[in-house]
Amino acid sequence: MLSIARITMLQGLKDAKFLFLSCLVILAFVVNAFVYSEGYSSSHREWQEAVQANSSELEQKLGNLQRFATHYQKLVKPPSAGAFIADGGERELPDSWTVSAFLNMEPEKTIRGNRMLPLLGRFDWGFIVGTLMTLLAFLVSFDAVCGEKQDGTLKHVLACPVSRIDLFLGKYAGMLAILLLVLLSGMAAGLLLIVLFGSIPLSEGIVWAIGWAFALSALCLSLTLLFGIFISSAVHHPPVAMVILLVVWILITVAVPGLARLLGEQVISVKSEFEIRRESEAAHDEVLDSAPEKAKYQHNDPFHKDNPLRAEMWRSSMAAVQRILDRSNETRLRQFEIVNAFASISPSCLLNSSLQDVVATGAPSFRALKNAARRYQQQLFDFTARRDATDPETPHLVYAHYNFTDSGVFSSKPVEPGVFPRAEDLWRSGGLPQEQSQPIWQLVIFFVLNLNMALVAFIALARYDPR
Amino acid sequence: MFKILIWKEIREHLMTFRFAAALVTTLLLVIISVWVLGDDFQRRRDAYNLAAEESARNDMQVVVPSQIRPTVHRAPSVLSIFAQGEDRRFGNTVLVQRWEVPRRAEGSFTDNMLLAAEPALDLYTIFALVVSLFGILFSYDAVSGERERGTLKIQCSVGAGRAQILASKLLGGIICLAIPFIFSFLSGLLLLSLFFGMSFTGEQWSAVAMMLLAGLVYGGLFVATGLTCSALMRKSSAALILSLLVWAIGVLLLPSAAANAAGVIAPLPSSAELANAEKTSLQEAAAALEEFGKVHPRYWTGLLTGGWSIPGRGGCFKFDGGVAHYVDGAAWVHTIEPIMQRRAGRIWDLYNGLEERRLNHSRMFDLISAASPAMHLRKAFTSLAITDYQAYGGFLESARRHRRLILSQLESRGYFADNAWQFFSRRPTSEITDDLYAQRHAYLEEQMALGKRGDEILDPVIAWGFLAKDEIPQFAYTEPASDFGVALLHIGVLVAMLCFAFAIGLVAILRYDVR
Repeated sequence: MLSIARITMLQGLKDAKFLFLSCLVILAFVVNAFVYSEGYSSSHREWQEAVQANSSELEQKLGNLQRFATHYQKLVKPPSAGAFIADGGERELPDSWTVSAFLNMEPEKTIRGNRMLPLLGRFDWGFIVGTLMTLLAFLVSFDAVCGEKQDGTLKHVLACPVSRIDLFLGKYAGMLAILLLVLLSGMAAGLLLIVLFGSIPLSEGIVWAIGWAFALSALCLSLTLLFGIFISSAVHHPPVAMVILLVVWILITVAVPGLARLLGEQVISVKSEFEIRRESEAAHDEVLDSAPEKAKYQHNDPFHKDNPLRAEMWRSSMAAVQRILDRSNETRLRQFEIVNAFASISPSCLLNSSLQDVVATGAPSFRALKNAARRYQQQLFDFTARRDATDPETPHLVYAHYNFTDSGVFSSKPVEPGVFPRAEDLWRSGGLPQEQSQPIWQLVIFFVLNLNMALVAFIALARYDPR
Repeated sequence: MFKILIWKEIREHLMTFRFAAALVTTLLLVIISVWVLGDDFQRRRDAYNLAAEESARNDMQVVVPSQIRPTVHRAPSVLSIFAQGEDRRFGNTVLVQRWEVPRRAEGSFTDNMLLAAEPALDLYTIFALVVSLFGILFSYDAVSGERERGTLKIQCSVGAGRAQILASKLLGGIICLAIPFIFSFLSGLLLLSLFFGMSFTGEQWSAVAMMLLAGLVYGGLFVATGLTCSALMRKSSAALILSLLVWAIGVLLLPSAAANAAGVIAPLPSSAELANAEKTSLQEAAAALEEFGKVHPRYWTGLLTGGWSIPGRGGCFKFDGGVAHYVDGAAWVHTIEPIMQRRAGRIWDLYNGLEERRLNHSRMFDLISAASPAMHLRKAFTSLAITDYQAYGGFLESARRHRRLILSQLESRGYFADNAWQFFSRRPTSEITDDLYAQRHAYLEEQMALGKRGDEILDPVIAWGFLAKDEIPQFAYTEPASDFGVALLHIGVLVAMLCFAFAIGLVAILRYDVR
């Protein structure tokens, strides 16, 4: 087995086509490093400017607690340092949330880049491994068995004698070794450039993410390699094997992701912003209709006996609107996650979604932003209530209708700088947001798939007629 | 002889496994894509109809001219079933306001913003990726494979010229590539007609036919590419690798590289630049309002810092220590309205200036990516399907034109001059006094004490009754047509690329050792 593995490796390394394609893959890692270093640097600068702008606006409201609490802040998510591993649509997904003490509104997207340009594919490690290197794996393995049969060498090898299991394991090990060599070389070249550029912080989280990315990529490449060996062992002509593998490659890289999106939209429907707005207005009207008339009138005296009713009315209205907004955001996220689940039929997409979990981009990133917005809104409200409680000149009715509140119902005293909750404290300083996870389940799934595919490929090889 | 050679190539292709694979794969993909996108289009169209009807109803329920703030919508294009383009990325609704020049549309009808970055399997994607790969598969061993089988020298020895041989392989390959795609395409159209009851106008049929033509020229380009690589290499496997390399660079890598290179050569403005520009103009307007406040101390200049907006009904009033005071609506319109409109214009000028940089960036991208056939196919498809950025830009421009129409009509009726008070109220100016407001306050309290709801009480300050239709300008927006000129231009570029690839192949085969 070892000698077969060694022969397979040497054949691959001497093959000009393979070397050429390997250089292309390594070049892709280098381009990735360049693109994402520059991209992270500009995104991080923009994020800092956005945070600064938000802080400046907030400071103008410190003179009056009411204005502070009703002010809509823009909570902006920092760019992910791990985007070079798995982009997850960083530039296209919402990265900010409008929050006040009384409502967390809608996610928004910072307009980055040029909207006149078409949306182009991501050039992250997930793409390089899941798209380019899977094609390379198919090109390496399509003639592993049927090619040798066509050359007439297969029967001689088996007559040596070399058992079929040794042949299978030797070919698999040899081809996997050279693919991993290319992968390691590419990752090393890319990381070297990233270190030289110095714009992406290589924190402990990122280092772990790189390790997980290598493990997941190796398992993905192994799976595609085994599939290539299976097809090569199922047909007798290399061109036929090539066609089948290319069709499969088209399906797993193009068709499955595209279809997954379409099917996901069929399974879960999402309301449009227009419908959400209408629903919110209807909920608001319903609360107002059921509220006592006395509650609808704005009194000049904040201590008016009807003001508690008014407070209750507005709190109910805002709670109803918040429920609608929360439900719509959760539905959007579930649809997004279902699309990813459908797409995980494809090993490339499973790899991409696993890498996104590892570096917390994509759906995990949006969930982190949503949770952060909720937490921050609660912190602002609690802070407002606590400050108001220290003011004896108000009836302590802390309520608002969107960003408007009745004068004097809660404190309007100034807020000292440095005592109120800051949005930027929500994010860990540097590195990744808090929703990063370890891809244990994904590793298990890949491992099980590899075992199954190895079994299928071996059975096909065991039944193969080498004559 | 030439016809015999073409017929021979076609027969050979029809007998191969790859032809069957192309037929099955494309049929499957096109049917599923058309089915799902057809259903999606119906939902989007229904949502548009609902939204447009409701907006039209709301827009007509204005009582005073200051309430004229129409919402305009853009209908989805039926041809977006074939090429999604930028349709899903951009909004479809614009709220036309006096104090803001529309510069982007909001909301999409049914879309999830989280999926904006995910690919949609439309016909363009199928052509761009699948057709091109099959084009290469059909032709990568056309020359080198025949040499390996020993039949190439026989062909050359029976009197067929090498140019004829290559041309017959090209035409045979294109015809065989066309069969599965035309078949799938027609199946998709049949599905749309039978199950969704969709019918196209004559112009739309022309656009569909041109899309098919663009797709086939694109596929032909990759047949020519495969042929050329086959004529450059002695072995089929090497020819396949070279063809796939060219494909990967032209279809996958070059567009991404072009976007990044364009960013370096023609940098984009950061989002903070626009935010700073808006903040600066806000500060300028706030300063002007503060000056106004010094002259008219009863006005509250806190408008721009939030918390209060001018009501559209009954004129304008100010809360002073919690007590409402009537103030002169005319003075407000004469001073505040111009300030806010000037601010809107200023922000638009700043935005336009930054937009110029975006235009430069996209021009640079177009220049660098001109070598990518996939980009030319995309532009052809999206201009025919009316889902390109130009269609979106045209809608925004119509919304801006509508705003200018509203402003000029308001101005022509004197609402910003002598007739200012009628901007806010239907009552004669002379009747709106502090006393009337005090009476209103008491009247509202009395009515509510009697148990009446807010909307049952006739506000004594304003006069009820909706504005006449001729007071409200109608939104004049013509759905854009498919841009055949742009499509033809890009198809022409693809044809030129095909001829160039063929020319290289011709030179290669003339020097080819057929033994």
